[in-house]
Amino acid sequence: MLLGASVVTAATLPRIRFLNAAPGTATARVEVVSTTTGMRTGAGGESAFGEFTPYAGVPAGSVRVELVAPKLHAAVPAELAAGSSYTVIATGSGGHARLRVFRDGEPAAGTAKLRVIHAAPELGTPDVSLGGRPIAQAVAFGSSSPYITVTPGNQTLAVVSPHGNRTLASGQVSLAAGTATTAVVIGTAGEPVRVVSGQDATVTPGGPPETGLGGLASGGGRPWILILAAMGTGGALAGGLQAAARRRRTR
Amino acid sequence: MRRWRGTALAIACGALIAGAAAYFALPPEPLQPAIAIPRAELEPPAALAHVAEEPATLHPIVMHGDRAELGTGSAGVDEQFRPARPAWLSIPAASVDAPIDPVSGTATGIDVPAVGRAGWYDAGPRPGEPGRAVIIGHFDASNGPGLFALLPAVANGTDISIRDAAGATHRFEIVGKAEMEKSNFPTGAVYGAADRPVLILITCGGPYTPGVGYRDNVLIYARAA
Repeated sequence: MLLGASVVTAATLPRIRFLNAAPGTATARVEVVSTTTGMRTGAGGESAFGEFTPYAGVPAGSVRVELVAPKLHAAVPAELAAGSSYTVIATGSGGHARLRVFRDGEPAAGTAKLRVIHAAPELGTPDVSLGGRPIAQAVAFGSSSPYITVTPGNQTLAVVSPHGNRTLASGQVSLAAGTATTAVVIGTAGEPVRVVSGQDATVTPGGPPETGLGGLASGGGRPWILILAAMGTGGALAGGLQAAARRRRTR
Repeated sequence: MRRWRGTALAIACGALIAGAAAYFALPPEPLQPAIAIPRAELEPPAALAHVAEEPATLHPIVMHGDRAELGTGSAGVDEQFRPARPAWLSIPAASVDAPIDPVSGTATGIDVPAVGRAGWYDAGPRPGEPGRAVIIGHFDASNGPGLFALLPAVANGTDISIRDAAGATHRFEIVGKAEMEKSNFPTGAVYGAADRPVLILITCGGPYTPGVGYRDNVLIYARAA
């Protein structure tokens, strides 16, 4: 009963991953504190600047997400829904940090989905293009574009200045059909501006393929060696018992 | 004489009863497939997923300078930059030459194609575009071989050709094989993104239990040639 309950709980836990986008912070991590139980849960481990941690299960409900990094502290309240996934991003430097929590989207069958998050404070409000086509304009620092459906493939995501006369940063993103991806613009305060991306989710079937009906299988059947051994044992036992009974009768 | 006849009768009865009990108590042993991959040739799916991404021909989409040269169309799916849907699968080394049908995922598994046809998982990447394209086929029918019956026996480096609906041919070469129990299917190493075109062929393998099916899936990883 307890096992079943824990399995159900584990399957529906919200998941978070963390991206350290605070320039000058070598490594950082986040912890999730449940405001109802006070339980503290580490989430995904340390993140070097510009790296996503793997997703990790955390408690559902009202929580406080806390940043744990040398000389940098921040916390943000969040409401985490069971079964949902979230990306937590730390921005800021020089002792001033901020955490932002973004709910991740679902992938769509047969096509690729992408959103862009602006986490490089000194860039202003740039536009974003993918493969030479504009996908978001005047993106404000700390905000996310909605998920958009894009052509699957390896494409160049470019951040261009608001007036379109300069490419500020660009990077290659791999957008496979059936997946949802988050691209984050990071940098400044001494760090070069660049685009990092992480895969949010993938469409998968509900189970493995059943592609065999047994026409090429052979052998098997009943375990005859074990059955013969049982017959031998049973016969010896019955014979022994019968002989013993006869001896008793003879005496 | 009569004494020994009684003992022999007891032995026979005991053997019969024990044998009958064992026959009904012991479950049937699973049948073995006619063609199986030698253990030494098997590799972990996660490692194969990585190997299959190693250098291959790419068709990059190049950024056209700054904003002044950006396109004017709205963002969205542009089919002209994608390979067409796969239509025909050829693996001469495994005597595979068959049409490909799209198959979809279900709540508990995935639709399977007819025994003599291949099935492409249509929610994922198309063969020839970055990502892991998945094609499934029957190992056997109830009375004989299926389309992928000889697949477990092919060697690394074997050529695979997929002709798409537009007539273009996408070539792959096999880089490794894996066999996993269905109860431990490596979903994360089969479906999803990759920087390069990867093809994964899946069929059944391992012991066969009547009424239950094959225990394993055989996974053949290939990369763009």
